[in-house]
Order: sequence, then structure tokens, then C-alpha cells
Amino acid sequence: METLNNPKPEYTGNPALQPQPGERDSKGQLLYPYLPSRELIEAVNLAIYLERPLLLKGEPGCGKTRLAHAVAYELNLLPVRVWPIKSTTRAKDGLYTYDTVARLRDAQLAATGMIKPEDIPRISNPETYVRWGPLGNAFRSETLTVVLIDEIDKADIDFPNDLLMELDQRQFSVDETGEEVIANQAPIVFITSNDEKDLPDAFLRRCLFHNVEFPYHQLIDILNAHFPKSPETLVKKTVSRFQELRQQMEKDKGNTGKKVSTSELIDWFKVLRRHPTDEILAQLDGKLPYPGVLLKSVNDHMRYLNRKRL
Amino acid sequence: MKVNDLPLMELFEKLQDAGLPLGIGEYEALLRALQAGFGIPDREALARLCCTLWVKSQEEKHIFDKYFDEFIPTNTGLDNLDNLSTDDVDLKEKNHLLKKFYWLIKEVVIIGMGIIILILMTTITTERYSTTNDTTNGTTNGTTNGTTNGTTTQNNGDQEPEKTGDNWPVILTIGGGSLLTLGVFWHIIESRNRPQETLFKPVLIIQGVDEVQIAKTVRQSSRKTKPGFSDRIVITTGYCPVTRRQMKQSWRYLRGLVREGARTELDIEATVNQIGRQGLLLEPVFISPRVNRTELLLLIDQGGSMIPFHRLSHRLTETALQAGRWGKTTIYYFHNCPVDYLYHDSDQLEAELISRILSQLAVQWTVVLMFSDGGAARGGLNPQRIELTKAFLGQLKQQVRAMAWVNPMPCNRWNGTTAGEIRPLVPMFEFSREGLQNAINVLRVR
Repeated sequence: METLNNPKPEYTGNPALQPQPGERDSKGQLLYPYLPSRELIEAVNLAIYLERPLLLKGEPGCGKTRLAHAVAYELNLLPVRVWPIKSTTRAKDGLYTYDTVARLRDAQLAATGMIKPEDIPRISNPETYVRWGPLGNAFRSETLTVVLIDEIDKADIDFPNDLLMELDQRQFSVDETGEEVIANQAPIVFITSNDEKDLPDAFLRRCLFHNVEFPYHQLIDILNAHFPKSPETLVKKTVSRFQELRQQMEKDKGNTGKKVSTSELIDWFKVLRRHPTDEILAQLDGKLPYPGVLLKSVNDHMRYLNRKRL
Repeated sequence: MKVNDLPLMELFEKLQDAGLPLGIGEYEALLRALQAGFGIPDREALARLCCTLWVKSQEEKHIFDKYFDEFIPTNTGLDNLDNLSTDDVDLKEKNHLLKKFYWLIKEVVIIGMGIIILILMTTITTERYSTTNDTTNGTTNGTTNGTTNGTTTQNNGDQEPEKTGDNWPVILTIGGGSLLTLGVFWHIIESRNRPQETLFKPVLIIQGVDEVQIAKTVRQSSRKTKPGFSDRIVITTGYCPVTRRQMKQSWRYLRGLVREGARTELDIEATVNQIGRQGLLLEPVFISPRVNRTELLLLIDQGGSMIPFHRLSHRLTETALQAGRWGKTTIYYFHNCPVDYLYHDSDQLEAELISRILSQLAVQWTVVLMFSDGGAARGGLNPQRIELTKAFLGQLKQQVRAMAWVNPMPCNRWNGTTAGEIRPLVPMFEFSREGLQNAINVLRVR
């Protein structure tokens, strides 16, 4: 029934619907193509259909944050309302903040007669000082929106639990004005976590979960999507050298420790393609070129740079 | 796929029991998703759907996979076999053929054995008959004394049934024994032929699942059976009175919130008060945010009588490091009771002087949790240990804000042991959910 009344958009991850190189969103942020796995597409559609937040975990640089933008681009829901979490972020900040200082200042200006009479009605209205947060804005929006709660594990331990009610029932009230905000449309919510700290079970229960895997078999496609018209030999060589490094790291480090990621591959290729293809192909056979892009610790440099190639 | 026939509810309940954070809402979500066409095409799609809905971490994925395979077999529930890939069909046929082949061999071998035994038996008995016949013939043909002849034949006649009677058990044991060894060999061969996955996979997974289940059964058994009796069982079956999840939940309560650090939060009340005093708003008043300053010092008894509890202590340290969001977690190890040195590692190789450790503690914020049986596992009184522990605790008390002791042995086993003597010196709790929570309550800053 629900589907008939209120058709849900469907995410396909279709390569034909990807942004062109250099395309920017309305805020001037560069847009990139995104190639999701079949499982990820399913998870996204499930989250949209069930109106539940989708919790994305995976190693850093595997494209957790980018997914929100990719979905918003394809469904024409840009810009994404991004809520970057810091250690000091409180749950309420995502809904609204109340600018008490401005109100006090205005009250004082009014008392000393330094405010224009036509401004009096504006400053007498307590709602003037409500600043909506990303989630608050999404709830108030008339149209469907995409919200990204980025790196939720950085926040305080109580943060996820404080958000439960709001995410579950999609409504909240502004204490200062008594205003009730009820969402007309459930926003599509993506939550990313680097798994630095565990999230409470009560919060996990309400989320859908997807672990973004390292896209071993899609690396060539990813590079081609990001850098169309790159020489095929260069792409293949870069990817095979990169995979070799990655496999070695997986063997050495297992599940722990930082391994080279997709985002680093893209950065690396960006550097490599600036040089003549022949030169780089020759370099790829020898010592790892531009190691600073891939290896981020002294230990890694010692281990992977001086290793003789097999 | 006939979704209605699948035991999804049973699977869901099993996963709940295994400790996955699931409510009935999650089951409803599955039904709604199925109605909308998610997870319908094949078994893999259904697995992916359930996974996205119910599983929230890699560890839970292992538990899920195990139960999913158990409840929703690979080949049932599919309406048309066309969905099955040809590889699958081929494999199945192959397996079937192989099984038939083995069955044939088995039968042939058994029948062969039977025949051999029969032949053996008949030859032995006929030999016996022929030898007795020979002897009787010999005696009758011989020209010696008739009476002796009579006795010898009589004797032979007496011995004959006895001898064959002696042979029967021998034959039976040889036959039975060889059949038994054959059976054993057969089993070995079969288990070797089994694919590696099925051999090793369940063993790996069960650890995680069992932890939850053992915790459950322990709780039940300790309620049902007499104390003392259940204690003995518990230790031999692996003692997991508190699950990982419960530990994390308990750790969350360990907090000492204080306002500290850069002043970033606006103090509205103070600002308004200031305006009242000064007559105008000069500047807003800011206060520091509340932070959890608690520093946990975890002291773990390792080795000796604590060996059965190593998994438990490992889990305790692991959850404290992962779930704890307080200032600092420091873990030290000792054996029986700390004397002069504490150790950084569980193998007790990297030592550090106790006086040095204590001098570096932030007195105001440090709380200590000791994990040791206090001699209750082995029982008996050890006056030296009591003295040493007393000295250490006295030394420690000066340097920390609070301390508690969790004992993996149930409290009815403490009396009359060293632990019973230590008990008055420090709040000691048994290692159960309530015990851990009470211990953390003692450590909380109030």
C-alpha cells in the first residue's frame, strides 16, 4: 500500500548516471563517480524502503562518505546535508542550536534604544534565534533529502542514544520556543563509523548495517571512471602494482593496521598520470614511485619500499 | 521461493538468543522488506537481506552465517530447480554417485569378510574332524591294548566338543575385531574425504556463540542446583558468567564527569546573572564541557589457579579498552599477589616497580579494579599471601580514589580461604553481572 501512495526512489549505481569529471554540486564541491557493489546497492534501497538509517563501516578510504553524495546525485537530491561529528558534538546540535547570545545582545540593544522600531517584532519572536542543524533541516524539508552523519564513533558515548528518538520517530521539539517539528518525509540517513569505539546496542538495533569491502575487482573500473581516457596499459599496471602492495600488506598485517585504500589509489594515479606514460611504466617495474602517497608510516616505508620485487 | 515455508521466525529467535540486539521491530522490517520484493530471488538474496537487517558487526556475521545455514538449507524452498546453478547440480550428482560407490564397496567388503570367516570356521572344524578320525582310525587299526584304545577314543571324544567350543569365541572375536577395525578405518577415510570447510568452520564459529549460551546455562544451572555442586561443574565447562555485551554495558557506568578543559559551552544562567550585575552584556560566560576523567587501573591475576579464567580476564581487558570512554586504561598483571613488581604483559616478562607505578597515578581520578580469585580457587589459608595482599592494598589505598575486587570464584567458596580474609579489606564481588555492576558502582565518582 505504502509503495503505491508514496513511491520510493530506487538507487541503481548505474555508471551512466555518474557525474562528469569536474562537475560540482551547488556548494561548489567536486563530484566524483562512485561504483557500488551489488550488495551495497541492495542495502541502500532497503534503507530507503524501510526508512531506517544505514550504518556504513569499513576501513578508512573505502568510500563510506562518498556513497551519500553518489546516492544524492543519482536520485537528484543534492546537496547532501552533512553533519560531521566531532568529539564535542552533542545530539541536539544536529537538530537545532539556539543563539542565546544573539538574543541577549538584541534585548540589550532594544533596551538602550539602539534598534530600529521595525526590527522589534523580529527580535521579539523567539523563533528568530533558532539555527537549524542538518537533521533539523532535513526533517523540515518538504522534499526528500539525504543526510550524512559522518564518523559517529568520534562522539561522546551518549551521543547515539540521544539520537534514538529523533531517528526513530522523526520528530523533535525546540525547547526554547516549544515548536514541534515533525518530518513529512523520512530523510535517507547514512551514518559512517570507523569502528574506533563500539556503538550502543539500542542504537545498532535501529540501523541497517553494511560493511563496505575493499573493491579488489573493481579497481580498474574505478580508475577508468575517475580518469576517463587514461592509457589502458598504465591503468592496468598501476592497479596490478597496487594490488600487489595491498596483498602483501594484508598478509603482513591481517585485520589490523592501516592498509592502502581506494582513495589512496586514486591519489596515486592522479600523480602518476601527470608524467609521460613510458616513463611511469618503467618506474612501476622498479622501486615504488611516489611512495609518500601510499605509505604513511616509517615502518611501512622500511618494509615495503626496500623490498625486492619478486 | 516459498517464503512462507521458511523457518524465519525460528532463525530470528535463535539469533536473539545468541545475543544479537534484535527486537520484534526488526522481524517486522524483514516481513515488510520481503513483501516489497527484497530478498525474494534466491537464497543468497535472502541471506543478504537478513544480514543487512539483523547483523551489525563482523562477529555477528559469523553467528548469523552458522544459524542461517542451519535453518535454511541450500536446496529447500526453491520452487524451480532452474535457479540452481548447473555447477551445484553437477556437484550433487557427483556426491550421490560417490556415495553409491562407497556403499557398494562397503557391502562387498562386509560380505567378503563374512565369507572368509565362514570358510575359516568350516576348514577348522573339518580339520578337527579329520584329525580325530585319523586318531580313532589309528587306534582301531593299531595292535595295542583294547582297553587303552577304548579310553583314548573316549578321551578324544570328550576333548573334541570342548576344543570346538574353545574355538568359537576366538573366531568370533577375530571376526568382530576385524569388522570393528574396518569400521574405524572407514570412519577415518570418510572424515578425511569431508571437505575442509565443514570440518573447520563450525569449530571456529561456535566459540562466539557458545559464550552466550554458556552464560545462559550457567545462570540457569546455578539457580537450579545446589551451590557448591554447580561450582564444580561451572569451572570444568568453561566459566563465562558475564558475556562480552554485558561487560560493555557495565563499563559504560564507570564515569566521573567533571567540567574541564577549554571553555566552550555557554553558561546561560551565569551570563544572565552577569548582565543583571553589570547592567549590560559585556561578554558571555563560558564554562568547560563535562568530560569523563576516570582513569582505570586494571590489575589481573595471571597463571596458576587463574588459568581457567584467562579467557575471562582477556575479555574483561578487551572490553575495557574498547568500550571504555574514560580518560585512560592501564592494565597490569601479577601472579597470586603483587609483590614489588607488576607486569605490563600477560606473560609477565616486562616488569615495573610498584612504587614507580603508584607514584605516577593521578590520585584524584584513578580507580582500581582487581581481578583475582584471592586463593579461593585452590582453597586453604595462606598467611603469607594475606600479609602481602594486605600490604599491597594498604599501599594502593593511599594513591587511588577507589578500588574494588572481582573474584571469579562464587562467594560461597571464599569462606575459610585467603579470599575470605582479604574480603574485609576491599569491596570484593563475585564475577557475575550484578557483581561487576556493583564493583563499578563502587568505583564511580559521585
